[in-house]
Amino acid sequence: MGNSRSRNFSIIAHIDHGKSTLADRFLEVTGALSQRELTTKQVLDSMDLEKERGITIKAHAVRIEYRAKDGKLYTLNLIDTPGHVDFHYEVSRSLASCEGALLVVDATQGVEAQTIANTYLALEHNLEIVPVINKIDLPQAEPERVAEQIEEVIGIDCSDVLLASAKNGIGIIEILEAIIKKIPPPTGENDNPLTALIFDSWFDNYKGVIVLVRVFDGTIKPGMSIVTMSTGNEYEVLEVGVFTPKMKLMDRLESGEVGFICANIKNVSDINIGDTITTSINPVAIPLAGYKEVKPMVFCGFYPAETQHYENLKISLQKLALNDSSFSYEPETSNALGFGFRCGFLGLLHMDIIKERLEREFDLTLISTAPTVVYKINETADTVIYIDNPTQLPKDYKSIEEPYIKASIFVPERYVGNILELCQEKRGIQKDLSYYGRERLLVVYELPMNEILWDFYDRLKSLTKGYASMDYEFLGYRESNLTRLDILINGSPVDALSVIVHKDKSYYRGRQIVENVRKVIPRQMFEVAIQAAIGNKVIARESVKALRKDVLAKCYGGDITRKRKLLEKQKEGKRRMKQFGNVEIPQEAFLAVVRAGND
Amino acid sequence: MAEFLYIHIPFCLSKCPYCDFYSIKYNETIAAGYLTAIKKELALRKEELQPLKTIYIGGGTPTILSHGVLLSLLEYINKHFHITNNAEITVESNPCTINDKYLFSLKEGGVNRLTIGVQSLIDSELSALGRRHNAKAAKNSIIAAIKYFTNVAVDLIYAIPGQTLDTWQHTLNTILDYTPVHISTYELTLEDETPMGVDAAKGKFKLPDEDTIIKMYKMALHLLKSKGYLHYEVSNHSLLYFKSRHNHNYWLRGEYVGIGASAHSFINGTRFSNIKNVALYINKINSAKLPIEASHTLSPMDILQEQIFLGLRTCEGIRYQLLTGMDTLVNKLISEDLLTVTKNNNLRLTDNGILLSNQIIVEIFQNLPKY
Repeated sequence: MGNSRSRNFSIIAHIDHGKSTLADRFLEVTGALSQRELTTKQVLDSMDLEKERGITIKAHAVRIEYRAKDGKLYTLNLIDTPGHVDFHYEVSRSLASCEGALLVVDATQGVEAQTIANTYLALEHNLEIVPVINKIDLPQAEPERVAEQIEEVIGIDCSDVLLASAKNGIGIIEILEAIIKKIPPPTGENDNPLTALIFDSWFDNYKGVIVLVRVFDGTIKPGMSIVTMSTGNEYEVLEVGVFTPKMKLMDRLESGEVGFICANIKNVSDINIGDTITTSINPVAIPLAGYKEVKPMVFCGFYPAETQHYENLKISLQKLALNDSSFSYEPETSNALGFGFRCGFLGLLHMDIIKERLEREFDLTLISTAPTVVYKINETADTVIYIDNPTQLPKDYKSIEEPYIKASIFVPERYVGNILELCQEKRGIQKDLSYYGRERLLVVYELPMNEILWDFYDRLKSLTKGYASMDYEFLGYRESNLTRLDILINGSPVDALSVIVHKDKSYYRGRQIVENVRKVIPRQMFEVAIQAAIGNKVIARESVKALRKDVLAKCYGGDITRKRKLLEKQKEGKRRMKQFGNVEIPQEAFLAVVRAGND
Repeated sequence: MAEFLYIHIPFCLSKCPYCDFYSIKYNETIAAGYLTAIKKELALRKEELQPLKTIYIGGGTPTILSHGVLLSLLEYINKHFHITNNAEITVESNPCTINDKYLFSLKEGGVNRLTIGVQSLIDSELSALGRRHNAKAAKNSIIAAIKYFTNVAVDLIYAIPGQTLDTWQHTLNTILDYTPVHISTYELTLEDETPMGVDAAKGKFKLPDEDTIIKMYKMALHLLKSKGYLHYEVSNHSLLYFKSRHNHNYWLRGEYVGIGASAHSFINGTRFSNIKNVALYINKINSAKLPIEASHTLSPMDILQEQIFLGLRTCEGIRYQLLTGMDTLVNKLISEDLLTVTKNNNLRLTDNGILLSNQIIVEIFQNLPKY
């Protein structure tokens, strides 16, 4: 096989542990990119936002040619993985495309929950793990301790762990050599029927959808007719190639290779991550294992702060959805916010990223409503509906189910009590609690996902001074005693403020929400009553006293312009609020329903 | 062409911690250079002025200048500009800086209106405000002033940290005993950038609560009204014929020329301001250039907004037609006792309306047609 000189690998690392810098070094030492091209720091993280947050959102695959110390030229495919918890499934598909993975751990920070979760994921796919301790040049680096921790926590032999500083180019060649030595070359036969795994896709204005694949068996050539097995759609391959990281067309992709396909595909939503590609003429019978349909788990409403920006918002959402099939949007209307969109995301972080991109790249000011999970409503014994907005909850139903997740939280010993208490408070069911290494524990809980949306991450961070890390996966739906809590302003329910809560917590939540909303509604010329109600029963009430004094005392000395500008500014502030009846509701109020109450 | 002249004297003995007007510590040499510069600016801008109906020398503390210096300024104006008969010529002062001799020479120099920054007649309140005088000095200054001037204006501040309804009433009643023809009552407003504003943000002291402040406002209104004072602007009260003609011109959107560092002018539809720095101001003037720092030519919308927010500060109010098409809002405001119709068919704010004037004005702004 011609593949003995090829290696496919990923990098597993926690946020900021140096994955992107290391990838850049590979490109630099192998001459794939010049120093000058690399000055726009971190080539693989192409979006601004990724650079700023230090996380990789989109997976990419880069082919590197490396002449090893044995004198032979090797082809290395680096498959980048999204670096955050909402993209568990995407990570698993990227890993499934590799034979090995570098496990990069920060010498000053040690192992984090996400690293463990992703390493286990890699082990499930029988990947060869090559441990690397990065940032060894930092004064507070403790490589021995971290190596010990990797052995204890993950159970990987660290006797020949690689020590590196990606930032300063230390140990880079050694890592490349280890990749060749330890990670097995891909197997597979060019003569077998085509089996290729889709692990990423995005939209290109000129080429349509670009699909990243790992070919397991067979070859892909332009002119071929291919089929995506989950959808049965047929396409004619127009181009194939690789990224070096520049796009480079090839005449074929062979078994064991990683590269892209362009086949005149119009929408990213036509391509499912994890799907198998085969040929129309000689298809394989069974697709590759592990395919799942990815569905948004978290929903919220996005509304333009100013109604005339609705069209802009619509166009911006269309553009973002072009490149992100895990994100969905549908028009909706609200009595308080007017016309907007109900948007679906994989998780909270995904939601934050989309929101930030809309505001930054498309220069929009958005009001977002409280995020919610998708509830399963058994209306009758055999009618089931799914709702992604609390207002859709029918009056009568047989039972209601909510999604549960399995959360794995890695936490230093001294904060474990705090975490247990937090999970308990969030209706969690403890599944595991065990030491990993000497001072750290892995806490595993089954938690209702809706509790995660309610200040969970913030509390997790503050309760552990930022030392806890968490990973989660979706478990399934479970029946639960839930009810809808409505928020009324001057007697009228504000649809965008409704939430679904557990009955045992409804009074507490109602009280918290009402207080939070009261804090952000500015005093106005008349009193504003804020109530929380379940059905017709009011369970909490607060009021914003009428404003009685707002006047500029001094207006002399001739500086009229400044006074006018002050009033103009005040007017702008009001314009950004939402008019509900004769009450002005500031944007923050719509998030007040999820904010922590114990500050 | 303006008939109203303002001259800014940006010097003080010390800066009051709540003041956000431009002023620096008094220095005789700098002041002398500054006065020369002022005369030069007057000469440079002679074209903008026509027979003067008011001259207002404000600050800072104009009376920190020796009376000779101040008189030479007045002489200069007299010599080079036409001043109408019975023009209002005001000088701002504070209790520490005036005595009989000083007042006599001001009067000789043609000044016919004196304002005194009394602020309070309670020593602890004066020191909370960082004032250098005490109640006794304040009273003496009023007694002296009314010997030389009919038109004496007393400035008072309420909502001072530590002030109560009783102490405010005491200050008002004591002042009323002297019957000054004009009384200004300013609510203490702390701008963020002032030392007192910074301290307030840090919680170093507490202002009276809103309820008390509203009661203070209403107490002043009732007390002054009962003594025959007309509440003619948000913070100003006067006996008949003794409105500040100079300030009134600001609210009527009349043109005016402001001379000196940081002074503002309004000529020919443009509002502009001078450099807010004495040294830079003097330099500019000495190179025979106008010391303008910023200017803004008013758009039709700006003009309309000004007419509304300035007009609503006064007891005359605004013409009904300015709010054309806002019948619902106007009727709502009237029914809530915030707005009322005057005999001249104007709309003016009620006492309650004045308290909420920003809210009302902003609501009106929101309803203005787009230009």
